[in-house]
Parts: sequence; structure tokens; C-alpha cells
Amino acid sequence: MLVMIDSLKRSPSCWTPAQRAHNRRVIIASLAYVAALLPVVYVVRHGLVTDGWRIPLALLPAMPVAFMFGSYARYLSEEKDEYVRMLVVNQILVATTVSMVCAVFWGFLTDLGGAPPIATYWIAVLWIAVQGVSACIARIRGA
Amino acid sequence: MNNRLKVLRAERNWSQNDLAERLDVSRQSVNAIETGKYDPSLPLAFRIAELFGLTIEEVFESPSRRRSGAI
Repeated sequence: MLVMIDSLKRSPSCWTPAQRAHNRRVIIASLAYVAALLPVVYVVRHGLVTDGWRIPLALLPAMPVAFMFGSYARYLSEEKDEYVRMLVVNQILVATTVSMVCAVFWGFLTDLGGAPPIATYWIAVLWIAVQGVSACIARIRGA
Repeated sequence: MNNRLKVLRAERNWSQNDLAERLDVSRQSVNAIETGKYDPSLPLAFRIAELFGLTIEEVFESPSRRRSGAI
């Protein structure tokens, strides 16, 4: 997910150099994710791979997503604008809190409450979504 | 934390963008500092004061001194 600080109104040229670098990395990772996901899903669902290839193929779409999360860490170390960095850290804290709480709640609901299990990558999806919403709220509040 | 940033900037006819460029921060940061939403770090506060040729105390109002009514 792109760093969404002020992104609703700011042109790309107004982003900090660290934000531009992070956004570039995220776009590349997203393209790699789509490029990997579609063929992997196709070959696995159609049973076109042997068992030995299933694990490496299953991990292939995960790599760009892992790279995306690594990009956040790199972004935070590269961002020179302390106020913008503080806003992003706050968004990450909100996203982490919400996703971890949801993960724990759903974990107990699955184990003890009879809820259906869901793939754990949804935690990452939730994290990214909450981070985006948090950035939008910060923008609306005039941060 | 109250400060005189807006006044000092206006005296020099600088926009928030101008000041942001001189400080090497975003316009968003300048706005947040001016409106008191964000207190800058000590290094940034020094950079701001030095840009205007003033001391930190001449730009930023000490919250503790404000509470005690000294300012």
C-alpha cells in the first residue's frame, strides 16, 4: 500500500523523496504480486504441478508482499521529514493494533467458537486496509 | 506549543512552501508546527531558530513558563 499521507490532494511531486521511493517499491511489488498470483493459482487449481512444486509455487506470490512490508521498514528509516514519519508511524500503530486484535479474536473464535478458519494472509490485507483508512482519517482531520 | 513562526514567516513574505524548502521539510510539517499540532524535535527547532537568526526561546514559547504566567 502506498504511503497515503496527504495523498488525497497532493500531487506526486509533493511527496517526500522517501515516500516516492517507497511508492515506487510498492508499485513494483504489486505488479510482481499480480504477475505471480494469476499463473500460480491457475496451475495449482488445475492440478498442473507435482507435489514437490506446490510449496515453492505457493510461496511465490507471498514474496512481493513480504517485500512490500520490508519497504515500510526501509521507508521509516529513510524518511527525513519527522512530522510525516510520525504520522506514518501512528497509522502503522493503528493498523497493527486493529489487525492483531482481529487475528486474536478470530483465532479464539475458530478454536473455541466454531467459526470457520480463514487464511492468515487476510491479516496482512486487513493491516493494509486499516493503514489506508487511518491515513484518510488523518487527512480529513487536517493532519 | 505556541510559536511565532507564522509572524516571522509573514514578516519575510515567505509562503509555507518557501519556509518548508528552506528547512528541507514538507509544507505539511510547517503547517503542523505553525498551528501547534506538532512540536518539532530539538534539532528542527534549532534549524528554525537559526534560519530566522533568533534563539529557540524567541521563536517557541515555553509551555512551562506559559503555565506559570512568566510569558
